[in-house]
Amino acid sequence: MKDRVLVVDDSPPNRLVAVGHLEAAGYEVSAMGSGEEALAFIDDHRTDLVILDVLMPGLGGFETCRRIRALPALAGVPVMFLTALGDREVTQPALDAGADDLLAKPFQRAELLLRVRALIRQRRQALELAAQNEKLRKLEHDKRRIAQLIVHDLKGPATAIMANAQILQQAKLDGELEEVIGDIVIAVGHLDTTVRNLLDLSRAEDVGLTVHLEPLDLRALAADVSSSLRGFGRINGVSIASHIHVDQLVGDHELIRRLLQNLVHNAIKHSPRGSEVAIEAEPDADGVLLRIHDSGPGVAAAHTEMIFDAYVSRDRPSGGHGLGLVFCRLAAEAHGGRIWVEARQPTGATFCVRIPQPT
Amino acid sequence: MGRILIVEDDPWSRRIVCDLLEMRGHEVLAASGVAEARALLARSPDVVLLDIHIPGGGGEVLLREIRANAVLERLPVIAFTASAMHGDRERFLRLGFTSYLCKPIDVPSFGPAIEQHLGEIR
Repeated sequence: MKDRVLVVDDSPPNRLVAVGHLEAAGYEVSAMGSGEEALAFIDDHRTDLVILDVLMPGLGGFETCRRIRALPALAGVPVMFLTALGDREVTQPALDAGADDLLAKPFQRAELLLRVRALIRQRRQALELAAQNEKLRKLEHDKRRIAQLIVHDLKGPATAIMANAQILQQAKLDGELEEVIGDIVIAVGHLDTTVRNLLDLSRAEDVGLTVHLEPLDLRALAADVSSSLRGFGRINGVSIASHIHVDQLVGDHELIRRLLQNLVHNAIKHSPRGSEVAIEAEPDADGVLLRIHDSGPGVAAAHTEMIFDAYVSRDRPSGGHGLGLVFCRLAAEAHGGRIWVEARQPTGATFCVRIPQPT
Repeated sequence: MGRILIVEDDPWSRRIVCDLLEMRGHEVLAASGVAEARALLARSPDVVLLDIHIPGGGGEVLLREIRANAVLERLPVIAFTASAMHGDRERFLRLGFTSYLCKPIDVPSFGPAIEQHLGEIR
């Protein structure tokens, strides 16, 4: 496919010169005598480069260029001016009108062809890149969609295994079998958490987390989270304490609850038996600072950033909680806030969340 | 023992509900969508367990039909849902549900939660 050049010049001899050089070099050339004609033509003819004379009756070169730039369908089509005027009079207006290049008349054949080749090459590369980007974007979208479907399909079986294992638990089997069923319940519980976290994340990545701000009773919320995790704490021999020095937090009830739930669950999981997990909240220069402290092994300095990124978990084998932290980051960011970990190895980790408050 | 209609498009969830209720001696009518559910309502269930997120937005439509029907008007209909957002409880009750149950199913409390509606006057 030949590259197409549109030459716009009101002087027939000038047009002939440019057209002659370009056609001899293998380009497919159209020539127009005015800006008006050029705009009508370019609308429905694929064009790879526009060469414009500056001084023309009617629209003139600069205005023609501005109008070409205003057409979304022609975005990125290079425009070069040919001019007999002095540099100072033309360069700045050409730049302002959106031109890509400028060539002074009289010009040599090779000079014209050099500029034309460079501009068209750039244009072709930009188009190729855009097409590749589009293809990659589509692939990425499909991949994400497939992953989402797979995860969604895992939810049903996980629920069914869980419910059936619970039915067996109720049947009161003898000692050893009871333990086996208990293990199944714990394992499926992990699977279920991971599946739910993955679904939350893909939803959040697709549409972003929506925040419904309302004043929240943080003490009640912390008490709610603590009581829902007390059982999990008991199994792990870890107690939960709350020190809330903030009466009210403006935030999204569900997001903040799940954020706390994730962080406290995570803290319990990494705590040694007989220790305490603390939920603290205090006012801070630009909002409320939440801190969840555990006495576990802490987080290595090298990992303090990446634990909030998707698909990196600080404890791969049991999974799930790495994704929980990604969710926490998205929830904090959806409030305009941020999350970080103060790694105080070996004395435990403190996860901090700052939620800005309206003034 | 009662006759319970479950309307749920997810086959895993439907199966578990059937198992749990049949194990407790109930008769279970299972529908995967609104059209099937309409046909089964003719068999006079004592309680309906209705997934409100069945495709096509059919859950709320079916509930409205039940509440607008002179015979079924007072039939206990329990919302069965994965969404347990703040304020959902009030919304379900306002829509006309008798009560609601959250997914995933909590096995020990599931049967009793349904059975408490069996004795309700219709």
